[in-house]
Amino acid sequence: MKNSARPHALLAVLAAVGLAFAATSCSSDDPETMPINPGDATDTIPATAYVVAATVDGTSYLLTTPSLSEGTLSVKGHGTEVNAATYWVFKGQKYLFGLVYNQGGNGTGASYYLDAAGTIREKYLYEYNRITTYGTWGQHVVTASTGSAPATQADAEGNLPQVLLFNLLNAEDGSQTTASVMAENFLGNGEKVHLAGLAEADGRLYASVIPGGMSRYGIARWPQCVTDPALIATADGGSASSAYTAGEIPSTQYPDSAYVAIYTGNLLQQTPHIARTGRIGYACGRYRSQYYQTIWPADNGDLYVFSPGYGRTVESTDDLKRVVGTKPSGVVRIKAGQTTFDDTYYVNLEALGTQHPMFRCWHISGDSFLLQLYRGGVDEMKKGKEADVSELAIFHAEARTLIPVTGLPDDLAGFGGEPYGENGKMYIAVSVTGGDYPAFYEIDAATGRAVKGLTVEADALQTAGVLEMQR
Amino acid sequence: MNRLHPLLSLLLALPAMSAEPALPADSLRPMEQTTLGEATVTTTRRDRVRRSAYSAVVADTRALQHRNLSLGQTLGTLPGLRLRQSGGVGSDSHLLIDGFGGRHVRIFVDGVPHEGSGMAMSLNNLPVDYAERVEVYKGVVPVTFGADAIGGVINVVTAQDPRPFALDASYTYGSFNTHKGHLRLLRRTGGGWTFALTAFQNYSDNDYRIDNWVRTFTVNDDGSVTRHPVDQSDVRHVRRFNDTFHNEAITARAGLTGTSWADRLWVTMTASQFYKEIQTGVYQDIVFGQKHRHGYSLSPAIDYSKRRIGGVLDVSLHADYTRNLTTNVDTAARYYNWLGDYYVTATQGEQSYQHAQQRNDAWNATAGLVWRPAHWHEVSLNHVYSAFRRTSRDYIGATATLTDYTIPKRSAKHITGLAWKVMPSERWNATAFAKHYAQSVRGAVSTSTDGVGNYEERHQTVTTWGLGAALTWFPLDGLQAKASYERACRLPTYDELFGDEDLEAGRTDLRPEHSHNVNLDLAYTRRFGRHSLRAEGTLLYRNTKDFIKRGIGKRGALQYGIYENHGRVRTRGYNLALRYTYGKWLAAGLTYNNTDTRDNEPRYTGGSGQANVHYGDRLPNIPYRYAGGDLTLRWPGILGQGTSLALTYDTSWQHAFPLYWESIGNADTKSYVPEQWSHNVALTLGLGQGRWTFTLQCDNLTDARLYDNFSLQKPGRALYVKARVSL
Repeated sequence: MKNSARPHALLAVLAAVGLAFAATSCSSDDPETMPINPGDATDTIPATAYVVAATVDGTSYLLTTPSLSEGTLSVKGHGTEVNAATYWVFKGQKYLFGLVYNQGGNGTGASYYLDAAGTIREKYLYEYNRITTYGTWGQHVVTASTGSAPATQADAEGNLPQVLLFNLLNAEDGSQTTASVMAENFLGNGEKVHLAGLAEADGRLYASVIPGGMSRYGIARWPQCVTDPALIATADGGSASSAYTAGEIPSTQYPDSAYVAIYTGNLLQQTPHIARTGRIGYACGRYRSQYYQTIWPADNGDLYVFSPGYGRTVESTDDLKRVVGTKPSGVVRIKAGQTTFDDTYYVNLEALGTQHPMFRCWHISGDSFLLQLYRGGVDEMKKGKEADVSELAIFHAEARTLIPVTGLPDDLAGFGGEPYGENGKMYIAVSVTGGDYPAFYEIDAATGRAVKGLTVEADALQTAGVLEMQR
Repeated sequence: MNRLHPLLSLLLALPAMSAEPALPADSLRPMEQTTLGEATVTTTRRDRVRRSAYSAVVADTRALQHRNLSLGQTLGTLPGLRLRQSGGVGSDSHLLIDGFGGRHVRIFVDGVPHEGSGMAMSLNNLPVDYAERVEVYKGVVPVTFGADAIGGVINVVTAQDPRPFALDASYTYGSFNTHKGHLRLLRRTGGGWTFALTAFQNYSDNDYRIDNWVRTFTVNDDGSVTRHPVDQSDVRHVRRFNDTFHNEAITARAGLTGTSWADRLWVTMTASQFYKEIQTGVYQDIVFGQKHRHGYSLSPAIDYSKRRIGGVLDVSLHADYTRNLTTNVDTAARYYNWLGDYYVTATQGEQSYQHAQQRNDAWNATAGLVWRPAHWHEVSLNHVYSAFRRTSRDYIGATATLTDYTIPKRSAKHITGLAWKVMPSERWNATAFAKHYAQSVRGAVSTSTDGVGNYEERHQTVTTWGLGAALTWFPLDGLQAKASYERACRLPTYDELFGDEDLEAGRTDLRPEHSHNVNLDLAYTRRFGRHSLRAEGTLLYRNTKDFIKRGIGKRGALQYGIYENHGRVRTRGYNLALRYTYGKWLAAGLTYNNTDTRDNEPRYTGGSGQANVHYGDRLPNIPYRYAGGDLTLRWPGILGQGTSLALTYDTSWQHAFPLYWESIGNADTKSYVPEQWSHNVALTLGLGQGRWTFTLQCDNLTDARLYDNFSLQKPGRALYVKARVSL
């Protein structure tokens, strides 16, 4: 779609996007038909293939396969060599986006498609800033990150506000739009925020908003939002992305709340509606400086919001007082079309199954979700990056039940990347120490039983999905 | 081992010759020198290295000082050596010795470790005028260089001028607004006092053209920005605009020479600074317009040496301290494209917001003893202590307040070597040696879930040992054979452990590498009449384990380069060098290098029994086959007595090599550094017995697209003029 300099061009674009979205939202039930010979009246089911992203020594290779449930693939001599991506996003079944996450730096990524010969080729090249989170919306893949504003926006003391930067990558024409929104006081409580998880459902974009304490700019501008002056750091500390300076509040004052921003129109022009709940803590998975998405729509458009309850891992010391959370892992939901959390729905995940806190989760299909749990309980959660997160379980949202996943290999080393769910089955990449190559395990959402599927001769696997051949 | 190139086989079949040449075989000085004593001294020292049992090559930089070259570039022409530059003047460079990258090569200046001296004094930023010669020891290193170097050691030897007065001055001007100057002054008084001053500077805008697609954009009325889709086939010839580099250095030395109690007692002070703009990220398609870094270094040093104490003992001592401060600046709220166009972004930092100062303190102390109880054998004992301390702090907010320094990262090394050399006859000599290495590393790591607080100081001590032997003999006149072996090791460098805080990330748990290194050399020199020929060949074998290898994108697909213990690597290779001169009129040389560095680790590392999918593959991103040649034609006396004109042509060829493992992935989709062929030409006029020279030089004559590294293009055709005087 061509861009013009007229005002509100973006609104027009997104309105069209909304229409396009309405049209494509039916696509999962009604496959596009592409006749082999243009003009031929006969409809033909399009050729699709499963696409697997495998890594060897930090480089990714994209391979195609007819099935994820069985067989063997090898990267020796096969697979399209691409820049290793941290995040892979399937944009419908037309494109696969590889997003490179740079710790603080610029990334370049590309979109790929399946050509008529069954080879994966690069389509468009994109650039974007550091990614904190990503998602899809209409024709776009959206990435978001938080950074410091330029000096022109400094306050009287020279403090810089934090800014949320969005990149909308247009999958169809390869263009991209960049714009920003103030990350300070995003929720109205004076805190600066990160986004962790962008989920598209029912014509809306939901973003999980994670408050991150108050910057010096925030404290100067909204001093009334400081709940306890003792929380303000008196000395510099932290390192890399967690570095903080004296005069800041380095961690959130609200660890026991979850916030979801709801966009219905222009992502950048409107103030989103913020839904808040106090029944769970902030909704994202954490690992070092990464924020993982834990908000997912079920197939019927209801948005399920999971929180591991990381507020409990915060340590408050004499040197640095911080607000410690208490909420355990839990789930709440926003019903399709609503802008507030559903009062009737709350599940305490630590009251179910093995009663372990969760780390991450993904949607399978219908209303079932795959949860990754801390095998050693809350104490394990506090170990941070050394924690054992090898336990899996299936959560059935309507039934409010948790089924353990069984059948995973005894010598499990770890899971790779993002799993892929379709038709009540979840395919997750599993690496082992015993000598086998990594393989996809097919987990049945109804029973929780896992069986070994496709094996890939590579170092590790990142994800799988489906692409349609483009003619 | 690969078959010999057919051309080479032909050359090696040349008939044997005899008799003495008029000039040393590979001298490129345009004139006979009346300063004969000095040249002979140089030749003697160079020949001493050649005659030693070590597999070593020497670059006679004195013979190249009329050219516009950096010290790194002079080394790049030696057999087995390859220089990889990522751009023009001041760009990041690495020297490879037989395929072993920059980290495997230790640099010494006058026998003292050069690590930690800062960017302004790095090897490729030192002019050719800086050194008298450069020695390269490959794979098996004498104990006098207390170093952990699996690839080898480069020793830069600065002017060892015995004369009472010397003055060297040169000035270069050339393409891309390049200006380089060098000055050396030496004064020795009758009373034994020595004063020396060396100063040099390099400046270049490096605004050469490169070939890349361009991303255009439009700033919309609502403040958002649209970047247009990129057509990667639309490659433009664009000019670099944020690549200026300049460095300046001055060294002052005062002391005593040749007294009864000291052969040398010197105090030296070096001050240097640099400014470097950073045009691209690790790949050329990421463009920066204001990102830069700058820094300075100060280094006092003291040297003492005395030979023949009691007739049998040599002692040398050295100590130095270097303080260097580097500031990395990436604060611009701008996005630039290759046309130099930019728009104002909402967040600061073109790559990643940074305004940080890094401070390194380095200490070196070396002590060497050589005991010669009899003329046929000697024992040497050497100890080197090197320590680093690195810390950093940030400038924050619009007022650029400085935060506190972070918890410092420290590393200290003690390397001790003991050697016994026997030289019972002119026909052969041999050395056996043992080394001990100890390193202690300290850094702080956050162990909390969110990376805030809970710092644990990590401390690691590593000790290991090495040993080796070297033997040389002269079975026939003009023929020399050498064999050498070392169980070498390499301790992780501080850059691998701690990173340079900007484009690289580090780790603190690396193990040292160990390697069995074997060299076999054969050299043949033959002279007859005015002809002179020298042929040398080296066979090398390296069996390395816990190889620390650079990999791009390991930690979750970052475009940073990080290091890790990869496993086992086996290297087999050979290099050949030929040199022919005809009197004062012609000199020609040819080198050919082939190294096969293979992954020898059958298991996928990481504590797993999983098979390694690239077992047996050549290590990626390493040039493995390359060659060079040069030809000089000389017209002595062209403008009268004491003048000369010389025309030099040199060329370099490199086989294509893949960026990633060769056997993995569909070959049509893989990334390669393409085959390269480059040509340079220089014309030099010498006056006053070679004391004055004027050179016109053209680099990259064919304006080829040259890449030493994937995606980072080097300059196109460039012209330089250099004027030099040497009194």
